[in-house]
Amino acid sequence: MDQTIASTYELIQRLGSGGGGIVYLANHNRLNKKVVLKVDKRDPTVHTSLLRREVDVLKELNHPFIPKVHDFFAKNDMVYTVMDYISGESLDKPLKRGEVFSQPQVIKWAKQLLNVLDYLHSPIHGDPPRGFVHSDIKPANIMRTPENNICLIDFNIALALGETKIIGQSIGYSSPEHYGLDFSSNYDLDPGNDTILLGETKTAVMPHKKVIVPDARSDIYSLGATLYHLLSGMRPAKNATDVIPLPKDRFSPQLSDIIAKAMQPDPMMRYQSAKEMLAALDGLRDNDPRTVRLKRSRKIICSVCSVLLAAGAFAAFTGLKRMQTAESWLKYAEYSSNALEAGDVDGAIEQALKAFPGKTSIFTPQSPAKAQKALTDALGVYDLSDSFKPYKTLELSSEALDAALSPNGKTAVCICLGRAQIIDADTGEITVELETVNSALAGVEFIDNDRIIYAANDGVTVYDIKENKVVWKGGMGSEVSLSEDKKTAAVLNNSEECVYIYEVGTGRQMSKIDFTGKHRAVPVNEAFVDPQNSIFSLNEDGSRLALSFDDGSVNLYNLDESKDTLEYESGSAFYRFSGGFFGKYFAFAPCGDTQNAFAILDTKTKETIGAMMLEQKGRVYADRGGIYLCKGGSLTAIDPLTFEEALAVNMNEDIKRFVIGSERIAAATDSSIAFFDKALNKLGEIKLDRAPDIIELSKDTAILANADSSTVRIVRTQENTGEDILSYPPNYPHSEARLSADENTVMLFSYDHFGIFDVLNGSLINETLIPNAEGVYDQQFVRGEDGSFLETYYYDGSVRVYSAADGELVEERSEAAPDTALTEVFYTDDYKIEAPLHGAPKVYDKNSGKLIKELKEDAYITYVTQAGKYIAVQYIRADDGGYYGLLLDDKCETIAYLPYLSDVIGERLIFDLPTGDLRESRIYDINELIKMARKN
Amino acid sequence: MYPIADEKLFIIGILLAAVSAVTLVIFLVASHIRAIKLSAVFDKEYGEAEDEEGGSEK
Repeated sequence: MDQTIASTYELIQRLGSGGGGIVYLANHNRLNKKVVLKVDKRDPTVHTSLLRREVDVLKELNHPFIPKVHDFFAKNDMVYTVMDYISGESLDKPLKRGEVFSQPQVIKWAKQLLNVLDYLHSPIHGDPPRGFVHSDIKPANIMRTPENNICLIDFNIALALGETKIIGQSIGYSSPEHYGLDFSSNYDLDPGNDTILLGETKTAVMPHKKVIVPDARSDIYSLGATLYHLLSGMRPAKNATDVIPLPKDRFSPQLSDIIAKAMQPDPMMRYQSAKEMLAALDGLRDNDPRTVRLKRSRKIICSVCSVLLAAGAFAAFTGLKRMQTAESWLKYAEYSSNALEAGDVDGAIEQALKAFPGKTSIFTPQSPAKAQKALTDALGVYDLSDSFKPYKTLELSSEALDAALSPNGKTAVCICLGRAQIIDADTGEITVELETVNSALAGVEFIDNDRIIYAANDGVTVYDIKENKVVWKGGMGSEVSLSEDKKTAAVLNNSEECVYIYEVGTGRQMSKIDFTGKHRAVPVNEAFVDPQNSIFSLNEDGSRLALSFDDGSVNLYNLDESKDTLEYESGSAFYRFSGGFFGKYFAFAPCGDTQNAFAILDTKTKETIGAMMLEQKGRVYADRGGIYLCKGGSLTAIDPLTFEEALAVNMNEDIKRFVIGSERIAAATDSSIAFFDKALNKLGEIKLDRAPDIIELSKDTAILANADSSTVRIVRTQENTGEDILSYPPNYPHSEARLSADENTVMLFSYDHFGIFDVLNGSLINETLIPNAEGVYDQQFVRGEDGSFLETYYYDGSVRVYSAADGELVEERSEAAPDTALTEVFYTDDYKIEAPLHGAPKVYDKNSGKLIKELKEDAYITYVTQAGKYIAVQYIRADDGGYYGLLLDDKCETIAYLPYLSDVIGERLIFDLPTGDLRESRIYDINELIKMARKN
Repeated sequence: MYPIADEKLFIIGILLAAVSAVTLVIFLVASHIRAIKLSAVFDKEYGEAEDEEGGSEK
């Protein structure tokens, strides 16, 4: 062969030969660049233009791993193709030397080759666009460059996609299609006999036979076979069905599977495209079972931990929200208690209800026991007494100076500075405001249920509340006093130093009393004037007026005869006075810093009936009902004839204020106010945080106010919610009351006696003195199937058993002397309660013996009993021996206070009231209480 | 009636969340270390994980 071809290419050396021709290394003389010259051995009778067309197409290929074709020409019966010279060696050479390549290396080349094939197979080349099949991929046709990349060479340029002419096969690398074999599963062709090979030797096509056309998947097969050889060093078997898969212990199982799939005999089972196989190789890491396992475990653990984290966070949040809500509810319970203590029942119920929301959610905690107790206390469902109870509170425009209450208790008038506010006691609302004289001494009195007399700013005025009109007006004045018969009014004018006397019915001024030169004791800044510090009082028929002065004197004016004035000099040491008229008697108590006295004068004879010095400050009240002297904590009735004292009321603390009404007595200390009827039976007691400065009282209503507060409390007797069992004489002495099992009798007993009352008619059936009462250790009332009995235990071990039906002694027996350890033990369904004489009672779990809690210590437990799902505990107060009970929930938390609790039968609570009434109530469920409160 | 007190619910929740969080962190760290080691094994088996040059030009 000539050394210079076409005057351009100077042959340097022969590189090799193959099915397509001989390959030379040549130098492009003009470009001075090494090129490859391929001399085609094809039949020169084939039309050159056909060969040229293929080269022109290949010249359009531009890929870094494919050599470019630069030229094509025919000369001397030879067809020359000029291509890029690729330095390096073809991969068959190292294989022949026995080299094998590492897996990473082979994978890298595989990806490069697949990149090439993807490019080649894509229908983007030429006009019209089409893809090409290399058709002869084998190590010999893959160059390894010095950069350790590959370059695919020796294209079978005659085999475009769809073309059926096959030049030849490379044994081991050629796909079954190259041999005309069809292993596709959707054709039942006998691969050995029925395949048609279309090539130069065959011209006929049997119409019923399938045409086998190598396509992209054939290149896939060849590539797979090439990779197989590169990895294993062994050429794969010629027949695809005989190929032994790469051992998975030597090579990556995944890679082995990829190559095996690429080399599937059935093209349908191979990768359908280079891209697909490339994706499989790219996914070696991600699809590796170890990666899959790692990712799966990560997913699972992350999921589980995330769920647990979320659950934990939610649980914590829920718990926290519930705790916060429960704490706020406890605050509401406290507010409720405070409101109740202040007398604001409506406010107490409102606050207590806030701890019981209508709508609940997962964040809603269980209502705490204290909240239930607050609600129960506010509703007062277990207070079955007929006593005065907090009713309403209201706010005046400023601090209260004076007040008055109508006889029927329906209307009240409160004096603030400069105004009188008329209050509807039923609703607690201020209905009318009147202007008063601008003095702290402005007074008001009720003439009857509808009319008041008060010191208006333009003169003393009688005002009809019902008619809302002024009845009459008089002269200026501040303090007002009415006679008990309501026919005469005295109005004091301090500036004029006189008193005007009016006829109430007509407003006629009847007389004027001058006390010029004398002064009333009034504070400098005219703040609240304690009415119990001075005397300004008319007697029952308005014929006498008593007036005290700051020089220690008290004047008694005879209003019938103006000159007949009795002046009583008590001495300048006295400057505080209290007193009043009882018939013809005038009783008064002058007090000073160091001396206190009490005296009674006969206003007719003008004689001093009696007088005495008091060891402590005393206060006197007198009206048609009698004379009362208050010293310390006792209120005594004084007989003016004998000067004897009869105890009326006794309180544990000093009585700071008291009021004697026509039907009721009220006595207030710094911690409570107690109410009594005129028979001196205690009707009830309300706790206070301080003694009121103003108390006004009717039969069923009382008004309480303090001089430094604008709040007025209305207390009232209220209908109880219980059922009456028995009414007995309220002064019948007893410690405990029990209903018999048959509910025919009630036994009232104490350690030294008992009385049995008939429930039906309230009569006393039997009264028995218990012998040797000093030796009584304990008493138990027992209800059994054969009757109810009072068992009396003695220290010496003897026991006397009395029938609760008729009081008969039914049994006497001797037992071992009782253990005087002074610890009582009680049992309920779940708990054991130990109640020592001294110390707090302790609650233990009955089964485990574990200490649950300690109960309050300020009283003695007398008994504990299961009442349905609740526990009722009865206490006796250490100070006054009074009984009360507590209702506990199943956690031994207090949910209700049970005043005067006497007995518990099942879920029935029985109360022994100081009025001589035995009443019962059922236990209210919390939902009932909520409904009650909401209705309220 | 709630089977569990609010305070206990809060504490259990906090503990559960804390333990889960700590477990998750420990596991993620261990998993990361395992992934790094596995990557090194893959580098040995499959070659460096880097983008190949090539691909067809338009």
